[in-house]
Amino acid sequence: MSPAMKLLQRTIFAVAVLILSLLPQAAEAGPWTRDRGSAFISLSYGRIATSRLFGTDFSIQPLGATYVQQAVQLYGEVGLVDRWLTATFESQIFRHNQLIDQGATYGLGDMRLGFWSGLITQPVRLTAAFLMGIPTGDSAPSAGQGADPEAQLIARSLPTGDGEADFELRASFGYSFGHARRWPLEHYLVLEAGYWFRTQGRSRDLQNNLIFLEFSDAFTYRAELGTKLPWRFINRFWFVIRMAGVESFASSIQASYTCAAGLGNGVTYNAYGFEVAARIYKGFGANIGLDSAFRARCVAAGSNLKAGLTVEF
Amino acid sequence: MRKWILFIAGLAAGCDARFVDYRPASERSLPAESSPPDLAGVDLSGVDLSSAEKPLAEGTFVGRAGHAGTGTATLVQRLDGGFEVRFGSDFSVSNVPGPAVFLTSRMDMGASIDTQADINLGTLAHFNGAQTYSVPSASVPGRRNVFVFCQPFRVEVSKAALIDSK
Repeated sequence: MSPAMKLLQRTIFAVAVLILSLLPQAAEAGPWTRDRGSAFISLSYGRIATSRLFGTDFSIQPLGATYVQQAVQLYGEVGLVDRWLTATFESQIFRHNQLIDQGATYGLGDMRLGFWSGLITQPVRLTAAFLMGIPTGDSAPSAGQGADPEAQLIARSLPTGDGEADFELRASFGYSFGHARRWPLEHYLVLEAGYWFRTQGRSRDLQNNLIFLEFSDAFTYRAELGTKLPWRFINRFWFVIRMAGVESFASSIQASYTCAAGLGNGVTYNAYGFEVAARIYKGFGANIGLDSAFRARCVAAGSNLKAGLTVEF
Repeated sequence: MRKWILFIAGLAAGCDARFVDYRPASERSLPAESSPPDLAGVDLSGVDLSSAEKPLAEGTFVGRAGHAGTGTATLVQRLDGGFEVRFGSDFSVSNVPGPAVFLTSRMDMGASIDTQADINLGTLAHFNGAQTYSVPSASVPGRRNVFVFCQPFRVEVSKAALIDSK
């Protein structure tokens, strides 16, 4: 047998072992706060590729260029005080924006810290959260000294952050049910609503002068249903469907149009998503998902494909 | 403790992104200061090169593809014989990334730049207010449409169709 065939056989065997060892993996969920010392970490990769854009009037506009966004996201949550305090950390530790055949920017994206407190634990969960956005990304990338004007335009069009510090107050409702050896095996429902207080974003104007852009507040929401189906083997997976969105209070005129990057004022989206999550071994898990906006403003009109690895301890 | 303060301050200051240029070398132009005027389509027939400054054509901006655009644009021949497009103090356009000003013979730019028909007058200086763009003399004949164009994403933002002054 050739070395290539051996390698293929080993790969198939490894994948088979991996699949057979899959066990249900709890998805990230806001309402369920963590016990002290317990933690969950997720490292995921997301990709959007599109030649269309949701414009300021919510219509889909064709672009004359293809925009590709790739991001590696780190998410972590750790219990600090049983029930009362769970801290979360969320950051695009690497964001790569590209206009095909033109240019790309890459670097650290924005970061978000959160503090969650369990208000009600029985019979449903109700958690309040304070989330804080930290502008670690670059809202006005430069092509560097000596670059030609077009290169500067391309670089400036591909921010890795919004340049704005903000905070959000969110309420998260959760309910889990099932737990029987018949359908439904196990379900959970999450309903979240938040008010996103936005401030001023630091950026640069066309002459490279420092400016501050006003961002309008926004309403945020998420509805998510996770379930395990009753069939053999399939019941090892969590299947998650969700609808999530941000509804900015900015008018169409106020909505600055940071093209497909989705980092300007007025960004609005309502998106549905699907996700499959499974535990691979002990606390280690994996997930894959797809989110797609059906009504939006100032964001790329393309699906976001995500895949990630998780660990819980 | 001090390390943490420095770390948080560093994060708050943000991190500069790196840029990679994927354009073919042949499509890269020179820095703005040394850009030569575009002399595509040299044809001076019909151009009045008299010494008196005068408006040659004027139009009003309208938004395109869902964008806002207002104000006037005027094609002027300067006293020194050169040409420029002047935006009025009432000019305003959506805050888009990568905006450039084009003078073109095309009615619509669509999602592409035609290097024969479209003359790039430079990066939009301001999203509001009066501003001026020099026009290479050879570019004036036959070109009467001014566009603010999101150059990287190839999207029309605003257009002013100039009508020759009588």
